[in-house]
Amino acid sequence: MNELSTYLIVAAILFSMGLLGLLQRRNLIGMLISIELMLNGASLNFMAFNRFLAPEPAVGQIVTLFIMGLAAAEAAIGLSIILALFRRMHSINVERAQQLRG
Amino acid sequence: MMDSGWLVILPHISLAAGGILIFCAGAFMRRRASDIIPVLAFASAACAGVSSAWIDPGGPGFLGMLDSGGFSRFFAVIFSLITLMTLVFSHHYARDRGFAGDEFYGVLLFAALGMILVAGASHWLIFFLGLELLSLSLYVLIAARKNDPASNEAALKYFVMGSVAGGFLTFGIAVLYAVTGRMDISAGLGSTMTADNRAGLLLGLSLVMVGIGFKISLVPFHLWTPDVYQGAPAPVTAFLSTGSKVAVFAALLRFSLCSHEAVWAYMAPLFWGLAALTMIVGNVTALAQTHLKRLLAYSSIAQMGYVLMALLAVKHGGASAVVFYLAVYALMDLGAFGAVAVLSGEDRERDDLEDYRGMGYVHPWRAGLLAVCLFSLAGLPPTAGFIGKFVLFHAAIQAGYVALALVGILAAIVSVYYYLRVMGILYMRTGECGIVPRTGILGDGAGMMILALLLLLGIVPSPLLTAISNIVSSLSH
Amino acid sequence: MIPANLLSLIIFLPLLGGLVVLAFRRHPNPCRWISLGTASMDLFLILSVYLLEIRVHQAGDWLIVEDTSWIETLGIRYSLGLDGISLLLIMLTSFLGIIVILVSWTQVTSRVALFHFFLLSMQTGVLGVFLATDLFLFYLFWELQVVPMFFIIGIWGHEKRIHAAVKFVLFSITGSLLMLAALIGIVVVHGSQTGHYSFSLFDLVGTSLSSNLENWFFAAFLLAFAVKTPLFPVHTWLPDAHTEAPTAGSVILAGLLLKTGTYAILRFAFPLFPSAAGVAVPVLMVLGLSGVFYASWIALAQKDMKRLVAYSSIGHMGLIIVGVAAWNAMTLSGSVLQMINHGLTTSALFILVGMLDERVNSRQLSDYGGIWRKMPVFSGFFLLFCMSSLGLPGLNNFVGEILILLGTFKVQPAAAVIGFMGMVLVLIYVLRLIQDAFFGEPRTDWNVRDITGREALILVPFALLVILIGLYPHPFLDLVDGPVRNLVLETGTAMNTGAM
Repeated sequence: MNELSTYLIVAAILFSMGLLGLLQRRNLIGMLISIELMLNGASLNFMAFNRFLAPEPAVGQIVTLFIMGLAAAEAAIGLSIILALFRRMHSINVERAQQLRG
Repeated sequence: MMDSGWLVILPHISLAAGGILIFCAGAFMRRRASDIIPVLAFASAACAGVSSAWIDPGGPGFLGMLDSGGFSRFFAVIFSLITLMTLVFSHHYARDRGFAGDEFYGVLLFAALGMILVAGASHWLIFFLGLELLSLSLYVLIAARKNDPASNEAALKYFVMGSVAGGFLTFGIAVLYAVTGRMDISAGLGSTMTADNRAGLLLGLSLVMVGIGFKISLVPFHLWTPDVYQGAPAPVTAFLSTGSKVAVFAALLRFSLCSHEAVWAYMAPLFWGLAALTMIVGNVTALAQTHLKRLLAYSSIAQMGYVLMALLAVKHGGASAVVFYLAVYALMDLGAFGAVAVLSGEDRERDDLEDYRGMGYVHPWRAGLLAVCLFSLAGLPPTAGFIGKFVLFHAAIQAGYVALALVGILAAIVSVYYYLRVMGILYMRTGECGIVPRTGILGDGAGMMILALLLLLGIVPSPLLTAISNIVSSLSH
Repeated sequence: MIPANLLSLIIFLPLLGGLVVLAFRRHPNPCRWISLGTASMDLFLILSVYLLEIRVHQAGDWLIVEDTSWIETLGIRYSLGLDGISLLLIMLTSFLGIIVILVSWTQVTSRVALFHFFLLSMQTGVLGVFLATDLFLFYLFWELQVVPMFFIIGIWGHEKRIHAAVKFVLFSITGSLLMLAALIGIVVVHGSQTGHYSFSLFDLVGTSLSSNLENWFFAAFLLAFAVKTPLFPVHTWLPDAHTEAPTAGSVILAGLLLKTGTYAILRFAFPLFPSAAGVAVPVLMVLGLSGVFYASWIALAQKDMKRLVAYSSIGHMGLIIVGVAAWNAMTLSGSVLQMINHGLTTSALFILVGMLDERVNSRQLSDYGGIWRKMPVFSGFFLLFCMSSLGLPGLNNFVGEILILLGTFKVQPAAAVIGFMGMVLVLIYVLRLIQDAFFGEPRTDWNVRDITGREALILVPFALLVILIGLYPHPFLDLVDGPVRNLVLETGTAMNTGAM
């Protein structure tokens, strides 16, 4: 059980770092990286749980594979949105994008 | 030979194949693509709707990961209809603004596929994949107007919020998986709560709820909503505010129905608070809005609060009320944002409320659609929204949530004020309401259909209500 | 002899006509004629019911009922019922329905089709309220009547019309949504007791509720109805709505909408929650009487003629509430008759003020004076309806008021005495109105016509009815006698146990 909790702690730290980074960062690329960190934390969880708690079916590992694929897709779309924004504003600072507010 | 497994995913295949074909058409048939693509999109959405409405696959498919019962088929039909309406509304809109390429139509179909997966998932993995497919497609759709800074900014905001929600959701699912050892939704949530797994179960559920809360914009996770709704192109807003919210709510309804009584006892107070907050904050904030799309955004936030209120009654037969209202809500918001789309000028969206002065007489039918949708959102007869609100409050009171129902009623009273304000601008003030937009007969036809459906459901809701109560009772057994 | 869904026909015929009118968007005159035809046909239908049915039944039972399933999953049925009280009120409704079309014939010149659509759909809503016996159906019509009124005030009203229209709807909705909660509440309680979920008034009467719950439910129902009536503290929307509304809107408000409030108290609030009602009787009497005094006091200070009539309307409705609260056969008959009387007299006064406004373009009392010399026939009518309003014997209001006051005297002598004093106050402000506007020197040298043929056509039926009810009220009282006795019999005893 001790080994599991090591993994869990690492995963939780990754997730929290991601969340914190997302709240703190004003750089869009930084935010993208933070999102990846959050997803990685979740993936790590899946792997650990699969290994220690439900070893037989490989569900957790499959889920992790899917998360990796999705993270890549998300990064691609995120980058393209950032690129479109950069062309317009010549900056990747999120505070420049503040046209919409009410 | 077709076994039931393939029948289950007939609508999914239809949408996915349509999307891929559209991309192919965009890539290889440069000349005539603009004529074929909308037709292809329309046909595959229609196919999906027809196949989910009339073909009963008989049993769940794909190792029980995909539900094929009446519940998911009902929602598949709704999503197909939403997609069809969105296609119709965006046909001229997208062409006039130069984003009617293959990517818009193809991605729209993929988003629809995502919705059907979310509502029909009986496995956490399918739910997660469907939701991500939906979100990824929506990021692209919101940014469809490449040269519009507002559109880009809205996409960015939705992207950041959606990713956070996705992160929470994944982490929550991981925790739930750890605690229950199952990825099957009903088996996992239906397991009894013991002293050992209580903390993990509640942690996992709370994380999942945060993710869901973002997606259906419950207060306090709603802050992205008005910005995104305002920045996105109006037909996409219609699609986003109806389809994605209804899909996620359908999933939430499934979770609630599946969850064990002991788990539910812990979740109910959380929902109570979220519902009360959402109804109050949504409606009160809407009072101060001066832009129609923002006003509608806050109104749609509040609407989700009402549905959440009835969701609390899910263990006392409130599920059919929720499903009915979701269907009605989809119609109302589709109509309202669709009306904004067909009333908008070419260069910019008609968004400032002042631009709608006297619109009721310049464009009686289009403004009439907006008016009926607003009346329906306000819950005034003889519209579907009136019956819907009644059904929601009935469910909540019957389940004993009287205090929450009173909160909802007070919030509804507040909401009447801003709906009437728009009504006053449409019909009781005069002014030049600017350029006369031209739209095809299609958009107006869809608008009229929504209008007719809203009135029809307001007068004879019985067939739909009966059908829904059969569907729901089949799900809970 | 009577077609099976005659009541539905009566209710929805105006709406149907309204939809037809919408098709003639660009032709004002056909709109007017079609609306007039529809409204007359409706009145004809109702009168034929009166002539045919009354001979057959005579008793206090429901003369015609209609019942079909509607929303099965919730136990909601489409059920309508007609008894003497509702017959009298729908006669008033369809009569005023014709009148408002005639009144707006020259007054409303913009968006004519839309205006008539709203007038006619309004009539459908009011007729539905008077005939529904299923609580949900009743609630639907109750909300439905608000929507056209909102547009009538908001589009064709005067300067501050949007404000007045929104205020009107907000007041109504606040009351009715709380009523909705109570309505669902009583259905749920009844359902859990009997296992039979029903919204039917007949099923729900006699549901045993804990007294705490019953008081809350009654309060919610009463609030909704009191706002419409309007009872003293929640009346503030009415003067604004009246002042800003076009004449037709004022007539509908005073003649029909306010009646739905008192009708609903008598049909729904008291029978459903008798013991709570018994407890509330003193409160209602005090509020009703304060309404009489307050409204008369404010009316005395009004400079706007329309506002003055509006306040007088609040006073009269207060007296009707006193009559309902006293709840015996005499006061109830008086109250129902008084609803009709108030509908006739106040509507006529609003129409007369509207005619003046049309000619001089002012409603300020200070702009008038010496009308008598300029427009003798008009002034004659005005005087007649003023006399009716202050309860001159031989005219309609006298009958209703005397029934209410005498009946109240039997139960609450003090209330009756105070009510009588209130009537004296009415005398003062009505006489002041007459003196300021009609006698004295003409203040401006305007040259105005006396009434036209169309206007005479509007006013003569009013005058005839006012005199007829004043001199020979028996046909009207006979109509309500049976139903009123039933109400007293069924609800009265339960009320007394509550009051003990």
